[in-house]
Amino acid sequence: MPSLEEIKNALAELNEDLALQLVKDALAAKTPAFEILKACQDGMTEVGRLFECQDYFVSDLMMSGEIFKQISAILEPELKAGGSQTVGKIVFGTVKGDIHDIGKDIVVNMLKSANFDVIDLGVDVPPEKFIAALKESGAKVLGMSGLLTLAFDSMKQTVQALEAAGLRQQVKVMIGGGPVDGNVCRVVGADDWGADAQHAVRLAKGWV
Amino acid sequence: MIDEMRSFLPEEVETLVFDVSQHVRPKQLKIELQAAIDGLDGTCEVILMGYGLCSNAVLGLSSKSSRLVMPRMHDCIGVFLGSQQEYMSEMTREPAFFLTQGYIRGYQSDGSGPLTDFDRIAVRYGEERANRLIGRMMSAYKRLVYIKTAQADDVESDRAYAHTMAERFHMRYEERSGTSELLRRMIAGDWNEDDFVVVQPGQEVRLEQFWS
Repeated sequence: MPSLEEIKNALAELNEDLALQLVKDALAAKTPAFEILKACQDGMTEVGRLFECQDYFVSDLMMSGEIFKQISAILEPELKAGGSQTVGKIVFGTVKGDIHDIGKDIVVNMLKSANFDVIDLGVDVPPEKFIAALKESGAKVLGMSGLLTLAFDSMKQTVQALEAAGLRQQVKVMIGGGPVDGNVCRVVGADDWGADAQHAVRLAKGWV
Repeated sequence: MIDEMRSFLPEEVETLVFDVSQHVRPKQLKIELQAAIDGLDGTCEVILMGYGLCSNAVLGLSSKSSRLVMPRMHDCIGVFLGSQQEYMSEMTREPAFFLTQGYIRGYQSDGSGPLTDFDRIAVRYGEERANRLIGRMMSAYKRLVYIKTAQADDVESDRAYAHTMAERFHMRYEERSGTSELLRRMIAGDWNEDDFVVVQPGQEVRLEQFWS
């Protein structure tokens, strides 16, 4: 049975075939899917560290995103089957003008593994689409992601659109992504921000 | 941006140039910029910075003895498009990968940029995986926009590079004229609050100065 450390390392080393095989083997050996997901997220954190040290390039980051996406697809049915009742609904997306999805996908998958029903609207999502999804689903949490600083404008516009739609009091807003911090959160008018996927899950649990 | 600035710069102005590739690592870029600012301590009245907010790389920068001046923009693409509004309008109409002569020459000289990066990935992970990643990138950016500034020389060479990149990543090639008016004004000392961030000695660059 593969250890979680081996899975983490295979992802951190961007060994696609090995990582996918280890995940399948671990599932077959009854390792809980959320533990595998957690190991993969640790692997992605390590990829981020190697990028910061200049050992990895942008294309390597994209490779890690590609592997993570496939692992998530393998784990998703198990996460659903193994999970108890849905704890709440969250509308999530990368904001208008920004198309970066690796960070968003990590958070969405961690939220799913924590038994949230996540409505993932994808990338380049305009305010009106967020509003429509919140109205339709009745979700009480909105998560917005962005890697470009341009995203700050779209995040702020989305919060303003929430106010205009009369939803701001009912919906908690979290933001995240490379350049997001407490200062950005304050200026955007979000309720809180997350530095990583675990942080996002903690926020969401506190709100539903 | 330095190539476009040179034509406006008086000869006595000293210039420092940083690798364009550091833009993807803003924390590292911040450390390098602060070290360069510290190295200039006491030697000049004003430091003009050819940087916008650039993934927050400039936030927190400070000089003990000089004023720091930079365009009030997300990054240099806004500078060449003439305004932050124009940049937002382009990106919200359809997200684009922008290139300028400065980027192309920077990528060519330090061996960075998406073209070289994907050549590297084909060697490391094989053609099949490289093509899959290109497919992923293609689903994100549908168009590549080359911004041609008045100062650009040998534009045909830029076009060849930009066309190669557009074809490689299955993006639509577009071209539009850019402006260097903001750079001219920055160098001339014509710093209005709407377009420039001016930070006094001892103060730090803050997010609110770029965006509120």
